[in-house]
Amino acid sequence: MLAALAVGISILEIRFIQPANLRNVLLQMSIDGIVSCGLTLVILCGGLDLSVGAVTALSGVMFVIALPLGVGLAGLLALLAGASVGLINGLLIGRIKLNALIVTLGTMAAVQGTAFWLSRGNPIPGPGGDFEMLGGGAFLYIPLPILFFGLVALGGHLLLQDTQFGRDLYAIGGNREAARLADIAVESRECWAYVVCALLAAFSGMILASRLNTGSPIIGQDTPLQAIAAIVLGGTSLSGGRGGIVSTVIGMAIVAVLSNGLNLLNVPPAYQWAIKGFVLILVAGLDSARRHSPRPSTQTPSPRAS
Amino acid sequence: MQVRSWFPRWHTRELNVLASLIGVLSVLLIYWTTPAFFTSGNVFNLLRQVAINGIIASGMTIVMIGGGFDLSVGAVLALSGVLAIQLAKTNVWFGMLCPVALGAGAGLMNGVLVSRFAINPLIATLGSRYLVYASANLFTAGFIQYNGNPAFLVLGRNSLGGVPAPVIVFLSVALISHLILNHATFGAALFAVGSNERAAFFSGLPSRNILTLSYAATGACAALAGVVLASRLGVAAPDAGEGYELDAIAAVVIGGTSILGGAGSILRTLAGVLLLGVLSNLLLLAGQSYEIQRIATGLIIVLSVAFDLYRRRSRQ
Repeated sequence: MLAALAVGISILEIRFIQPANLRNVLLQMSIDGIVSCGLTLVILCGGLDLSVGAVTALSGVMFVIALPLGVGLAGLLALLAGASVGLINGLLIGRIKLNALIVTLGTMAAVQGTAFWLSRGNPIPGPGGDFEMLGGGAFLYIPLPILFFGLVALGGHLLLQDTQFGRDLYAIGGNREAARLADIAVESRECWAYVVCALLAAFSGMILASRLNTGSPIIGQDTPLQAIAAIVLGGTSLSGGRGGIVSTVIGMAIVAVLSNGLNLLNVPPAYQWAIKGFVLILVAGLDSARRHSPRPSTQTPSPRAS
Repeated sequence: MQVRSWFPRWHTRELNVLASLIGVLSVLLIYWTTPAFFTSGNVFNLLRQVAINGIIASGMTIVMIGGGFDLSVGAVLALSGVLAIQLAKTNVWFGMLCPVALGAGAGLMNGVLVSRFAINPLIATLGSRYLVYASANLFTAGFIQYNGNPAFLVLGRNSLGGVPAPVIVFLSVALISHLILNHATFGAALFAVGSNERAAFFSGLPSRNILTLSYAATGACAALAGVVLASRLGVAAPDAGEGYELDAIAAVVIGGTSILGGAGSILRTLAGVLLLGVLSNLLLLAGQSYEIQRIATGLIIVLSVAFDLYRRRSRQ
C-alpha cells in the first residue's frame, strides 16, 4: 500500500521523488516516529499510553530549563523525568491493575500541568548554537533525527524479535492469562514497556526542543492520537499481541507520505483530514473483516492432517 | 482475587462515613478560607461553567455504560457550533435543532462502524473525529463564525427564575438520560449489552442496534453542547472542542462509571462533573493557576479509579 501510494504521488507530482523532499518526509516522520516506536511496545502487550505527548512537552521544557547545569546533565534529567512518568504508569497499570486508558489520561493531565508549572506557561527559548545540534545537526549527511529514528526503530525491532522481553510482550498481549500460567513475569514486563515508551517519548521531546530551539509546554497535545492512528494504520492490533515495529514504521510512512503528497498537490487541510479519517476507518474496517471472516482452509489443518 | 495486603482492610460502610466526613470538613475549610465560594452568584457561575462538560458527559455516560467510547464528541461540538451559528441566520429554531440531528447522525455513523463493522471504538471514533473536523472546516472555509441575533443567544445567556439557561439545559439532559437509563427498556438493555454483549445477543436482544443508538445519543448530546456554547459566545470556531472529549471522560470516570461497560449512572457522572467544576472554581478563587488545576485533575482521576478498584475488590 505504501509503495502504491508513493508511486501514485510521484506520477501526479514529480517533485515528490526529489531527494530534498524525500529527506523532508523522513525528517517529518522521525520525531513522532520515535514516540510511536515506544507506544508500539505498550500496545503490543495490550496497553495504551495517552501521556506520551505530555511527556514530550515535559522533557522538552526540562531540557531547556536545566541547560545551565550542562547539556549532558540536562538531557539526563529530561530522560529521568520521562522514565519516572513511565514508572508511575507502569506500576499503576501493571502492578495495581488499573485501566490503562484512565491512568494515562490522569498522568497526561498531571504531566501537562507540571510542564506548564515549570515553564510558567510560556515557551522557553533555548540558547541556540550547539544546543540546536541534536535536532538540526547531521552525521554523514544524514540529519540526526532521522538517524535516531532509524536506530530506535532498529533497536525496537531487535528487542521485539530477538529477546525474551519482546517475545513476552507478544505473549502477554495475545493472552494474558496464558502468559501468566507460562510463568512470564507479566507485571514487571508491562511495567518496563511503559518505562521504555515514556523514555522514548522524553527522548523525542529533547530532539524537538533542540530542533525548535524552544522548550514549549503546549507541544504534543495531539501526539498520542496521531501516533495511535499511525500504529493502527500499520496493522498493529489495539487489542495487543499482533503487529510490530516494522508495521509502525510503515504506518508512520503512510501518514507522512500522504500528508506530504497532498501538500505538494495543494490539497487544503480540511480535505487532508477527511482523507486521513477515511483511510483510518477503511484500514480498521478491512482489518476487522479479515479477523472475522472464516479462515481459508490452508490455515486450519484438518483433524486428520494434524 | 486477593486484596493486596497493603490496602487497609476497611469496609465499604466505614469508607462511606470517612468520605462524608472528609466532605463536611472540606466544606467547612472552604467556608473558612474562601468565603466567596458560597455566594449565589458564584454557585450559578460554577454551574454554568460545568454545563457544557455536563451535557457532553451525560452522553458519554450512556455510551460508556454500553461498553463503548467516543473520541469524536469534541469535533461534533465544533461542527454543531458553526452550523448553529450559520443556520440560525435563516431561522433560529432550525439553527438549534438541525445541528443536534446532525450530531445524532454522526453518532449513528460511529455506532454502525463499531457495532456492524466491529471496529475498535477508539479507532472508529478517532477516524470520525477527523471526518467531522474536516466537514466543519469545509463548511466554514476555516473561518470563525459570528451571530449576534438576540433570539439565538437566549439559550446561552438568558436565565429563567434566576437559573441560567445552560444550567437548565444541562439538568434536563441529565434528567432525561437518567430516566432513559433507569426507567426505560432501552436502558436496561444497554446495561445488559455493556456487561456482556454476547450474552445479550444470545438472549435475543438486538445488541447491535442498542449500541448504535447509544452512540447516536452521545452524538446528539455533544451537538447540543455545541449549540449551547455557540449561543453563549455568539461565536463558533471550526477547530474548537479540542480536549472536551477527555474532560468528559474524566468526569464520567471520576464519578465511578466503569470504562469496561455495564455499570454506572448519570448521578455519578453529575458528581464527577461537579467535583471537577468545584475543584477548578476553588483553585481559581484561591488564586491558583491553570497548571495546578491540571495536576490536581490528573491526581483525582488516578485516585478515583484506584478507589473504584479497591471497592470492587473488597466486595468480592
